[in-house]
Amino acid sequence: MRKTHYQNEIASSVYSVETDEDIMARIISIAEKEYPYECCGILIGRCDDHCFEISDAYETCNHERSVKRADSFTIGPMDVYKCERALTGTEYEIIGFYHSHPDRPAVLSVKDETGMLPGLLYVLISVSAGMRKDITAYIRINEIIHEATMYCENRPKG
Amino acid sequence: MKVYISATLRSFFGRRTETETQGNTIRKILKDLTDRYPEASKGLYGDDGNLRGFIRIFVDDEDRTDKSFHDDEIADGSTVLLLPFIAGGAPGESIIPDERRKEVSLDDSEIDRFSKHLLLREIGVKGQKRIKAARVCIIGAGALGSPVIQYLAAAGVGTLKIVDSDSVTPENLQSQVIHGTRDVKRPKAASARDTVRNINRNIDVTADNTRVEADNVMSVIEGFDLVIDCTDNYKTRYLLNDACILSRIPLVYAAVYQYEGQVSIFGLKGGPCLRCIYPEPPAPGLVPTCAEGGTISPLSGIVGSIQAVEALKLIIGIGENLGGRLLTVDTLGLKSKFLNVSRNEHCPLCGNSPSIYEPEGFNYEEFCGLMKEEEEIPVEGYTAEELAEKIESGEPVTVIDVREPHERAVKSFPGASVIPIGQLVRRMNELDPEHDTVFICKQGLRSILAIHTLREAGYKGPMYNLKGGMDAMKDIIFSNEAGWL
Ligand SMILES: [Zn+2]
Repeated sequence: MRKTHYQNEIASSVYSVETDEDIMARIISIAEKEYPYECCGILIGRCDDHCFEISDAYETCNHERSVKRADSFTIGPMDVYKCERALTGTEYEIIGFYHSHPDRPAVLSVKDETGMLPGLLYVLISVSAGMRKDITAYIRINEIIHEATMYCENRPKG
Repeated sequence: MKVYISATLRSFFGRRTETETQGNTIRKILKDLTDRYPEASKGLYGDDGNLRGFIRIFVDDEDRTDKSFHDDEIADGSTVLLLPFIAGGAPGESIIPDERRKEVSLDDSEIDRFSKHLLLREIGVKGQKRIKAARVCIIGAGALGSPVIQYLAAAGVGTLKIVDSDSVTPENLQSQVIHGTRDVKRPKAASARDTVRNINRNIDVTADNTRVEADNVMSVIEGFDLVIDCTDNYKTRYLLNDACILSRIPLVYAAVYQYEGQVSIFGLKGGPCLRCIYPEPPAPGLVPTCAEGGTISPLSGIVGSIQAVEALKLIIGIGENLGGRLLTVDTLGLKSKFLNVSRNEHCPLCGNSPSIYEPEGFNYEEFCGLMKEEEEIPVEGYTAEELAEKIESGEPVTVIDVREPHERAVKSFPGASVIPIGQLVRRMNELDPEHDTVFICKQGLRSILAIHTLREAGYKGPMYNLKGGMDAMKDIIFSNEAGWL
């Protein structure tokens, strides 16, 4: 079949993500806690052209008013704004977002692809029967979506 | 005007987060920004020239993204924010497993035929293969079945079963567009099957003349991925709901009445069923079935087309389906709304401690409060001919029409008094217990209910039912009809 111009292809990865076990454990526990609904949040850290370093994560799915669904998530513009304002003057910034796929694989859906902001990291956690299965990370550069390789270290604190 | 640009939009605007712009409306500000950052234009706007879905524009905490605000003047001292809206989510789950999809292939003629589907990236080749692999059972080849069957056939559903025990009558042709004048008196299932073959010879289509009953409904739907409820009566509707929940087959439900329709999906994981919303059918006898009540012709086209879309979405696994929501469509006021419905833990069928383990084999007559109980005195009745004779011979007889006003407008009974069923007991004193009273409705069922209701209320006069109702009176013309009017 012909590929239409807007179809994205997953290219081989030259992008990497660095984080530590504490942060990942926190994100995973939120994903498992929210199951069978999706969780979501903001990833904070530093990045250069090819490497994303996650140093913190900010949960946004715990609002009282937020609608819990098993097949979609949203992070409101004002959540992003407030987070960004709080980071002003620090060496950190918003480098991406995370969300979970309950009972579905950790691959981008069409909805995910359509909503992806270029240059930002999207971390996906698949949760099956309440337990984490896979974690993947993607980044869109122009119209191409790349899968990033994740490195998770047990970095000493301090 | 000072504009704050979220750093998450850095690939469009660089790392600048605050910038001074020309203009005091959103339109002018956006123009100024895209003039200065030509690269941003591609990021902000889609091919259709509209702002992309992930862009939000706020003025002082108020969302002003919608185009209708773009020419509003922004007060001095306001803050304009250019922010992202982050959204996404797990891919929808198709009811057709991957293994089944992989078993089918599309040949050149199919690529041609379904190219308009293949162009949609949510569908594509994978989605079209799922459609081809799908096995869908449609109960009812009437008004709702007409669009459902034809659209599912045209969309490429590989296996269709059409179940209907009725034959086509001339009055069906007003809304059952799958049948034509030449099909009158033919079984509906066979007529619909021929239409499907006409659309696409490659579809594996079966016509089934079976009347759906409690003892066969499980086998009628067995082996199908999806069942579509295109029936027009409560009995079959509840049987299908029970059977689908017990067989774990999703059910696309719909009902139409007069100018209104409703659609939902039952039997999805964690979702509700019909009995979660209406544990029991509505008050007996008071709701005319569609066969009695009438609907505006295109209503079933609209509602059935929504059923077909929902069926395809479930098969492909895309979009936001009607699971957990009941859509109502009012064609007279041209309004539609969603009602959120969730699984009821006390549901007798799908609740936490269910009491129904097989399709409820209720009897329609009992169900409508019409079944004669053992001790109940049977209702005496006249056939249309007998009643006509009685009237022609000049015997004193009171005729009470219990139909709804809109039904009487179609054909009124000469000389009949009108008392809708709900007012009977209250207006009992209008009846003369010294004379025979004959009750009439459209098909002779609600009139039986009327007689039982009055008996229960203590009415002692002789009461008779017109067997077969007004439908049976069709061919009878009174010699002195003009005198009655
Ligand atoms: Zn239920």
